[in-house]
Amino acid sequence: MNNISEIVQAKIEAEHIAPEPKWHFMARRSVFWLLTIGSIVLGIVSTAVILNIIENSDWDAYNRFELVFMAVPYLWLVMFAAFVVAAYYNFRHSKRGYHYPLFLIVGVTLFCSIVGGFFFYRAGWGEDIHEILIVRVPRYERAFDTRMMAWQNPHMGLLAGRIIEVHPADFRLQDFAGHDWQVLYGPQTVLAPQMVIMAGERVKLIGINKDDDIFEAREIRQWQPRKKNPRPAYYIPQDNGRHGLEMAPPERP
Amino acid sequence: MITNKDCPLDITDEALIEQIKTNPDYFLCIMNRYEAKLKRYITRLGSFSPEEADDVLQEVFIKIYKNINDFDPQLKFNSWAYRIAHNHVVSVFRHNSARPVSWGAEPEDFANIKDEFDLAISIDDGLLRQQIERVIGELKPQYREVLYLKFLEEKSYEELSDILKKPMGTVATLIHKAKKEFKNKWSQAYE
Repeated sequence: MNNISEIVQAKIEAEHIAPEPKWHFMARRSVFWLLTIGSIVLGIVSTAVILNIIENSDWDAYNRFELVFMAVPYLWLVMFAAFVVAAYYNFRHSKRGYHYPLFLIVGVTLFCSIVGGFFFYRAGWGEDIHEILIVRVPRYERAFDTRMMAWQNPHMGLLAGRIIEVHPADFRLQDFAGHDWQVLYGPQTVLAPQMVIMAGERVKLIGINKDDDIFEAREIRQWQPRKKNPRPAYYIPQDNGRHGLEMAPPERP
Repeated sequence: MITNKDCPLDITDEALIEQIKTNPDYFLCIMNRYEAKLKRYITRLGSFSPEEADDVLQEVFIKIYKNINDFDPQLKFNSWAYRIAHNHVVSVFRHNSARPVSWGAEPEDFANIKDEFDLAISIDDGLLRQQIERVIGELKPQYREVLYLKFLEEKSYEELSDILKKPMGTVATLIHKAKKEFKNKWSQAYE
């Protein structure tokens, strides 16, 4: 044996080396394509949820710049960036992916994610996904929904939490940190459309921090107003003199 | 069993690959075609001794053989084989934490370099050849490789893109930077 080719040929025969079957390569490539498509879909979902959080952030209520910063959904933005990077990486490792420059791949991924995310959001799927995650994923809301931080500032006039007991002129509220508040409200308090003051409802309050555990509400909004399936129109709060504001029965035609 | 004299001479690499898929013995023929070219490429990519270069070449051929079903007929086989060699040499460097230091160029290689860089030297001048070698040895590995492929192997931009798995624009930028770095180092050292 006098050249490398013959040595290699002998080695292939002696060690029974065989070419890898074609389907191995096709399977590997399919995984990269699936991961690319999966990353773009997750980018679309992230965009839809981010838009939903931004829409429900009540920017008009943030009277200080730091509150605006608190409400930015950073973790979702990081997730979105991670999905764009993952889509780029996986596409780049597809068979012909290296032909395309970085800016083109990232540009197309961003375009697909943002445009697709906008349509998801318009269809109300951003809201659905956000609510499913709140229910199904422990600690999701605290980590991903940064509005909670912004609305946990009673000294700046913002408070949010769950109503636990309703009385004629006040209600008890447990904020997202677990602290109990007495919330005062009256006829002058502005209620958001379709707002129902009842136990179990999660609300956002704009008002004045009167004392350690007393908050006077000037405005009451739903924590997560639903666009897709809002409450029927007859759910208008009425004072029945016993339990504070309750739902009125539907009017008969 | 196919021997060297059974190898068809008048068919393209790509047609030969199709034959290998039905009769793997024809792999000997493709190895014959690429043995000298790839050995030169591997040697010039790194500071391998002739024995080390032979070992690396054997490993490259085994890789080509194992991956033969992954060959994309839209590519030139030539580019695909160089890509496998490139990737393997890079992984050898990574594994050994070694870096190439010399180009191991031969006298005829200097004619292209001399023309490309307008160097007023005689290609027979041993001292100046050493100087070019030294400057090339100081270049970053990716610059050295792209200069080698472009000016000595005379690969097109498309082939370079397929070998290095980079977009053609990036290849053009790499060549531009490599030439610039060569000129800078040359003028710093010898002008």
